Amino acid sequence: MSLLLKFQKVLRDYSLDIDLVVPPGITVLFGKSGAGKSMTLACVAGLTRPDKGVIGINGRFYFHSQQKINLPPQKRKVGFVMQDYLLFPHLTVAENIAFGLTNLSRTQKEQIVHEALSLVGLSNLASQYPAGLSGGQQQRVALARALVMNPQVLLLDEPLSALDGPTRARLRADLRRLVAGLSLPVLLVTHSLTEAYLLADRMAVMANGRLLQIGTPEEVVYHPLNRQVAELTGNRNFFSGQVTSTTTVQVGPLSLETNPLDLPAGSQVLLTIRADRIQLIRKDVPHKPKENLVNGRITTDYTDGFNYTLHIQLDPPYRINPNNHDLEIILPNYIYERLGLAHDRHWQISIPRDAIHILQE
Amino acid sequence: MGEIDWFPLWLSLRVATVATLLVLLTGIPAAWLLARYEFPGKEILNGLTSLPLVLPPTVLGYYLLVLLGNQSPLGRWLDDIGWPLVFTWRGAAVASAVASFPLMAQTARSGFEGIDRRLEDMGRVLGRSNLYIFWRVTLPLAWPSIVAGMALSFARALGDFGATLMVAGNIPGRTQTMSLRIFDLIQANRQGEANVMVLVMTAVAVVLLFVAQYFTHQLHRHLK
Repeated sequence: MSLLLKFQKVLRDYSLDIDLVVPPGITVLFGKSGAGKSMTLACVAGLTRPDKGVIGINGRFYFHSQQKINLPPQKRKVGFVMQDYLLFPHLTVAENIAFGLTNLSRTQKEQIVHEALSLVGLSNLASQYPAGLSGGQQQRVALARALVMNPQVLLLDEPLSALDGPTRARLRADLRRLVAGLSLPVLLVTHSLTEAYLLADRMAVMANGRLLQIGTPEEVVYHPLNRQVAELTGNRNFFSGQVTSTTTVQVGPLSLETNPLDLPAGSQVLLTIRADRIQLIRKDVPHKPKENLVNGRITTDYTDGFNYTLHIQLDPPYRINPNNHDLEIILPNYIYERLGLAHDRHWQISIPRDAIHILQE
Repeated sequence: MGEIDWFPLWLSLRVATVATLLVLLTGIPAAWLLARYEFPGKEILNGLTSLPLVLPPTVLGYYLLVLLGNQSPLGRWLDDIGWPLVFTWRGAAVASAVASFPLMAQTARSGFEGIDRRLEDMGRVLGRSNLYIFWRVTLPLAWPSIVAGMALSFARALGDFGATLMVAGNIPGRTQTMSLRIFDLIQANRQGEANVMVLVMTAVAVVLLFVAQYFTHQLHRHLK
């Protein structure tokens, strides 16, 4: 019951090259806009034709270029929640949900619509028009409309991006609950890392029409394969270095202890240091010996309301990046306040081995 | 002043109604084609669609006369089946239909173009045929524009003078519509009767204007 995608399509700005198996559960296509995420969904739904390759589920092909199969959208049974939800503005909520129900008696349709409405918790809005609904309500109508046709695959294109902040957080949990129980392959497109991380069973990172890395959200975020994935998943500190032993890497003037490396001494490597794993050493209490201790000064800081980002300039002779700050550190606001970082700017810093990841070039 | 002859009013309303039905049947497919498809010769069709708007009505009427008169195969065939157009009220209907066709085609076209095509895609993903989607999604969403186009076409057909005169003539009791009648009354210095006719025509036009505005309003109400 997995959706198989293996196709290519040449487009004006980039070419799409997808090789992905989507098992039951939520697979998130994550990437910036213009990466080809929505185009991938359009190919699955049959709204766009790939140049060559295969799209199929359960041994049934939606598209097979060699066998000249290209089922029209009507024959695919794909549930699709498009961006902006695209409810029919001239039809009521109930009529919207019933739109895809064919070959059924009136009472059967009413029954199904009734069940779908109570599933998404909108039974009281059956006779409303879409213009009178909130964004969150529209999203659930679109979801109900997609689900009543018993789809084999569910496609969700930015299902939360049209919503405001608090609604979005609430509906994220709702969406997860509604979709998780379906046991069908779900492809969800988003450019939000938070959304991807919270909703994904599996995450597929996309850029320029290609899949860069596929794995659990933890794998992708904490063990990015290359710099592009590391940047997309919010990593900030990137350095090139040289392996000096099985557990040390030289970065400029700084020698860093690392977890055991598979690389021979002398190898040039690119590495990232997770900004949320770097520690400030408290001055008021004794501490156990720490890894990779350096001294540095906070040059700039800013907060998003929850976390502070600190820019650190290391003390000579350990400047890595003489023209700018050397390190970025992210820590929660309450720690920032408790340590008094607003006034106390000079700190000893530890870079734990686990915070250091070697990337593929 | 004597008894007012109301025949021209009924004739005008009949001619305008038939003309509006004709432009409805021809204008919607043309608008649909222009709004939705790219094909060779699209610009030519587009130009033809607007031509009746820019041609002087008498010139338009002259072309129709040549095309529909008994000098032409089409005219002779219409004669044979007993539906001659020249010097009949049907001819007046066809002439005013041609004159008002651009209004219908262009208004409906912008109606079709204003519809988010992803709604039609959505319909296909939901398993519905293109024909069903046309009737259930596209046409209802374009409907306010189509009705506005009908009101404009009706008004244009009601007021046609030149093209109608060329094709159907000005035969009292047979092809003399309101516009022609008013002209005749003024020529004959029958100011009083002319005033009544003018007032009636003005009232009809104002009502049509309100109808058109009401439906344009509907469009905005629904789609916002």
